[in-house]
Amino acid sequence: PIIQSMASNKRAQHEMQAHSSGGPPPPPQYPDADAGADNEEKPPPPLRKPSDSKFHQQKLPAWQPLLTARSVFPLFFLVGAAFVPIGAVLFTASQSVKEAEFNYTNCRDASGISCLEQANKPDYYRWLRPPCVCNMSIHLPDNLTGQVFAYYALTNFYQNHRRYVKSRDDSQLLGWKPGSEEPLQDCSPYRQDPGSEEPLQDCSPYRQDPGSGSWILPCGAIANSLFNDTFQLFYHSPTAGADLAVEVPWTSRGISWASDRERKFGRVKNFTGTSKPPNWRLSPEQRSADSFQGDEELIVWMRTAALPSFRKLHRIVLHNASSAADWFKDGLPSGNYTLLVNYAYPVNAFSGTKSFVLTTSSWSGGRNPALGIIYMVVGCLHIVLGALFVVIHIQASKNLRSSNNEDQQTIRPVFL
Amino acid sequence: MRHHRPAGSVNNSRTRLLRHGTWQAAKWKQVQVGDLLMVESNCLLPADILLLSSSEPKGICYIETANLDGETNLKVRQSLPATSEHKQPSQLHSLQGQLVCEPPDDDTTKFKGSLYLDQVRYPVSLNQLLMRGTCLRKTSYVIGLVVYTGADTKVMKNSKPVPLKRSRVERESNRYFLLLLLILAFFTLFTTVANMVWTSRIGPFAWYITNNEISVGHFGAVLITCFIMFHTIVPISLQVTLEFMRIFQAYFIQCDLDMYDPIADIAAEARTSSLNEELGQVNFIFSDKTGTLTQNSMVFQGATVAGRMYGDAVSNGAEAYEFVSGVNSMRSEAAQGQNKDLDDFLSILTVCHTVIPERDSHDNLLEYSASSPDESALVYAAKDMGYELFERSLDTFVIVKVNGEMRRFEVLATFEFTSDRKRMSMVVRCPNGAIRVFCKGADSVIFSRLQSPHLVSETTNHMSKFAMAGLRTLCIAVGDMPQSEWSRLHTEYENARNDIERREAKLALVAEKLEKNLRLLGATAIEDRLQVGVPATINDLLLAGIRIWVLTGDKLETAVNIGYSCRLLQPEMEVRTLTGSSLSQVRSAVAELSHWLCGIASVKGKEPALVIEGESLSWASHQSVRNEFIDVCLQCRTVICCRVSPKQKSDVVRYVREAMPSAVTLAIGDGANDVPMIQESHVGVGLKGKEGLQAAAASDYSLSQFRFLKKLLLVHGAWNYHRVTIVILFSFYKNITIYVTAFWFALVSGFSGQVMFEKWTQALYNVFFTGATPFALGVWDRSCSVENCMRYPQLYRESQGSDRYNFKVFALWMLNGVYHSAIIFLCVLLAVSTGAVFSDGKTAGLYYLGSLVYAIAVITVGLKAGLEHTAWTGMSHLAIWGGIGNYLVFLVISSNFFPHAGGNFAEVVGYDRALFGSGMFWYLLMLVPALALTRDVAWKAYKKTCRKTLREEVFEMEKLRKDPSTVLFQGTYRK
Repeated sequence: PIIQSMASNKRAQHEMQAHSSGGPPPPPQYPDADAGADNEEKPPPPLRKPSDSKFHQQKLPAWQPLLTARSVFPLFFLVGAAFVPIGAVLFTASQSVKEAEFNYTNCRDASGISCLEQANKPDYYRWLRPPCVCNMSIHLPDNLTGQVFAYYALTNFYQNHRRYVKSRDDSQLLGWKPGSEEPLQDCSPYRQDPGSEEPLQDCSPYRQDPGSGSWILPCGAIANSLFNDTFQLFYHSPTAGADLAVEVPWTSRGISWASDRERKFGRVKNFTGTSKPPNWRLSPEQRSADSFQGDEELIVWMRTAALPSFRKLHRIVLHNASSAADWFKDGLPSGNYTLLVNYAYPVNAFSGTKSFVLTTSSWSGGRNPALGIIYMVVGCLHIVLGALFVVIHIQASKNLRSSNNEDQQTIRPVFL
Repeated sequence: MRHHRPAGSVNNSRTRLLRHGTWQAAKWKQVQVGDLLMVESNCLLPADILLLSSSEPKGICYIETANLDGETNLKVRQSLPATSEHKQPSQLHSLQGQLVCEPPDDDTTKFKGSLYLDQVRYPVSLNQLLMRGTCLRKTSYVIGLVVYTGADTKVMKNSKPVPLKRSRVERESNRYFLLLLLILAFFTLFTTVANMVWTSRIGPFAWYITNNEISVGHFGAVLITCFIMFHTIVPISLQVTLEFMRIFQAYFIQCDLDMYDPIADIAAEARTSSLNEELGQVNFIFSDKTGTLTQNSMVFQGATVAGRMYGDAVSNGAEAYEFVSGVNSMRSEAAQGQNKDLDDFLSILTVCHTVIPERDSHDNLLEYSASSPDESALVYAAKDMGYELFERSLDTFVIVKVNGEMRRFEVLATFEFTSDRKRMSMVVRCPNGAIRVFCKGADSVIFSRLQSPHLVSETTNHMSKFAMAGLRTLCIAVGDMPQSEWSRLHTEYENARNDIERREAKLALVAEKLEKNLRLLGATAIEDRLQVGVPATINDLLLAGIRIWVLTGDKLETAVNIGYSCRLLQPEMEVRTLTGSSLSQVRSAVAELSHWLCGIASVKGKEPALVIEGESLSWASHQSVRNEFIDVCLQCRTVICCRVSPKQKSDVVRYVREAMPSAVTLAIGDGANDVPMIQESHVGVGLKGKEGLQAAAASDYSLSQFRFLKKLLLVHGAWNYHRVTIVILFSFYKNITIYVTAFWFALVSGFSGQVMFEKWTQALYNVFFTGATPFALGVWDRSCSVENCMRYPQLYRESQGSDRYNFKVFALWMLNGVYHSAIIFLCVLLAVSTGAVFSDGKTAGLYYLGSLVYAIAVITVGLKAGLEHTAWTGMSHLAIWGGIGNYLVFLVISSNFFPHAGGNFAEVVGYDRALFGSGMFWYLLMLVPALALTRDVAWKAYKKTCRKTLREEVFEMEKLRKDPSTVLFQGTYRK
């Protein structure tokens, strides 16, 4: 009987399938053949039936944007309408920034000797000889109103070169030296290797002093090549006497990022047993009482520039300094100035230039019209595209209408 | 791993061997050539054995060969009379002899050998061979001599090692990977050489840079540095993304309720996930017939008897016909007992066959055991009409119970059905003593043996109606034979029967003499029941541009009939048959076909179809004809191969693959005989059918119904193809977009290999910031709605070719990435050129530039992914906005990390305040992605407006709530 019931169950299954899927009607039954079969038997409970959720059936609700000419032309117009004014505002803001740049690369000293050539010798750079002092008369055509910043600018200087960028030791700069006041007790003396005091290999050759064998602090090529021209700016007031020059008061306090001072540069208490970088005239403790945190020039320099031409913030003009009376209360007035440069930094070798920049700032940063111009160009482009797509839309709906009247596209089953 | 086969359990299956004079249990792996083996009912045979004797008289046994050829009907094998009585171990022990046979081969239709017993030679043939994998039925036991074992058996010779399948997209992608490696090599070498030039020209003067001399070591260091910098443009993570994505896709295939069979409680199964996208590219489907297209159950639907038709084919409005069963009218007429012709007709149905009624001990009918489902359908039908086959003894008598009255027909001679003769005849002595010839067979052979053309035109007319409805027909004829003539033929018949070597041929000669002057009674109509939805599915798959070939072990007529009933063959098609039993015959036949095809190409509306017989196929696969032969096949709209072995099935697939290397083939089948074909094709689909699970186990995807194939291909295939290709392209693109900026930066940093991104931020790009977007695109995007995919199979053609994923598309995507990276870098460069970007006058540096580039690239890439979405699900929003959000959060965290985690993140100390606090960041963030994607948006909008693809057009109609069919399709599409 087993065989029979199996056979007839199979048959019963077929019929159920046929019914359930709306197929052809079941075949005529052979009563005897199915005798004894349990036609009432229910199919087994659906154990393997998949879940009927939207997730399982791939029916998650979806947004289906239709990207046709009709839907994009408003988008283009919208973007265009937004970008052109943004660009205009940015451009205006940038134009409101007044700046004056003075290239002093070829500056000569009092005896007419080119400082560029003088400073090319390492001795000059290291201030083993007195630096080449040059006076440059400069003229500010317009008032620089508001907070004025002084930058130096270098060109052709690859601060972004890989071998240069990596030649530093951040833990040294944090001040983690034996005997120092350590910001992190559990990291002393060196976080990477407690037994060692060595600067990173990356710092070589400015890692160890060849003469004394002591470690260089701060080590590495970046620190060693610290920009070391110094500037003094004198204002020749038209109301004062011709010989009277008022020095523009400025400070280096606040030229670096606060986050750098707080987190990247610490204080080294004890410099004994270390050497200064070979190119430095002064040792770190001479440069600032709380090196390195207080040495903001160094901090600015150590933030390597992105491009071979760069500016670095050097001084912030003090507009309320008591020494300068009220000359600079509203900024720097137009007129004649003398820039006194202690010229020591060599750029001749790599055909670089050095400039001194005086500029104000706006809410959008320094003077740079590029962003505003790009905004306006892109905005215009979008408006043009928007118009173009209006035309395309009109054309396409015309075609659709005419093709509706013509013969329809027909699809036939193909075979190769 | 994938097609893990329980080989161990097979090897350890039990059987019984004759050892030391007794039957002893043994494992399959212990069976050796020359052993004597006993196999019991419903057991699989462990080796190819020569049948010596069985529990049944005359050494008869029944086997089911479903595992070999897919046929579920029982086949009879009979041992040599010389051995059929050796049943006891002692008798077998006395059997001394020698078997000489052919070396092992893969042909399951051929076996020849000689058994020498006591110096007497007995020829043995296929009739005595029980092959491994067949199942013993309705026989308590058989005893046999092991001929071939293990790998030498016919079934194993037909199987092949499991192939490793990779999709076309994957193979194509590997080429693109190589190309990208070339680009990587170019960037690396170019930058290295440029670095050398820079170092030699500027380096000596850039005193502030250390160790800046050219040396071999320097070159090597720069080369490695550049390689490390640029290697990120190759999306290594893509493989992982794809793998995860495919697992989800496969999971969704398994979860699909539309492919779930509630009756059998079987859901679709994706046994591999690496072919999901291949399902969207199928050009060829090779389908098995039995159990795949059909249910393998025959049902008697009607007949024509003496010019009267029972049942009718009714047009259902479209091109198809439905058949209205004539069984009821036939039954009521038979019950009246008035119609003499009907009585004869039903008598023949009840008598002229080889069906054996099986009864249990209480004489209750269990089942009619038939060697062909047609015969059993006819016998059941006759029983239904009151003509019950009551008892039968092979070759002696048949007892028929007609409305309670027993009629005894004495069997005088039986001429079995062969594919050559296409008919079966019996000579019987009727209850009234008259001797009559009962004959049933194909119309062509019956019509030529008729006494008069009486009824021929009516019958032909009716039969064509049956055929229209896809029914199989058999003609029934009867002839009277005077006693005198029979006496003469009787001796001839006996002589022929006793001839061992040329028995078949001699019997056929005798039959020729008997089968003449017949009187046509009518014809039967049997429905080979198709699986549910097969014709509609085939129609839709054809519309989808897929070509369907049927490869079956069945007879030619059966195959052609099924071809018609499942609409693969259509009345307006011209069907030719390739036959031939020698190379030269087949060669000329192929040449003729090729000539015919040339002619038919010019006739409009005529489409060629080809039917190939297994034997001619083996000749046609000869090197010298094969190319021309395949060429002919490929020109036909459809090809049906019948009488093909499992090996030949896979050969056909291979020939097509070789002839059309770019075409994607899919094989679908349900039996073990389909396994080679399933393995040979690009995608193998197994049906979990009645014929066991071998096919499903060897397949890549398994279904429970043929009709589910439509959704598997048209929806899952098309979607997954779209998903996988877009994900691959997008993954390449997103890495190009961000990391080619390194190249632009190299141009302004002395080609030094300096990276402008903080290293952890860079490393997490593919994981945290843009990792989820391809995943969302690859798992949840839906290129078209299910409804439209199913309603308009034409949409499938879009994914079928390589229009959407080829070298050109890839190159354009990569160029787009380069373009975007250039836009991003240039804009940022111009914006921060002086470095003074803050309102408090402070200057930014290297990593500020990098962070801006990075943030903008993350956003641009995220939005680009959004553009590529056709359906934004919640997952897409999560992935795109989540990725961008991740970056912003990470930026805050990383900016405040130093110095708490070693030297990490020293570069980006304070960047959260620096970036979020500067207007520059926000202005660039708005501007640059918009600028970069302007081209993409404009181009997409242009294409979707003016150069719409079919899919886009349907999509648009759907969005606008219009019926796509009214606008797009008129004419040939039929619902």
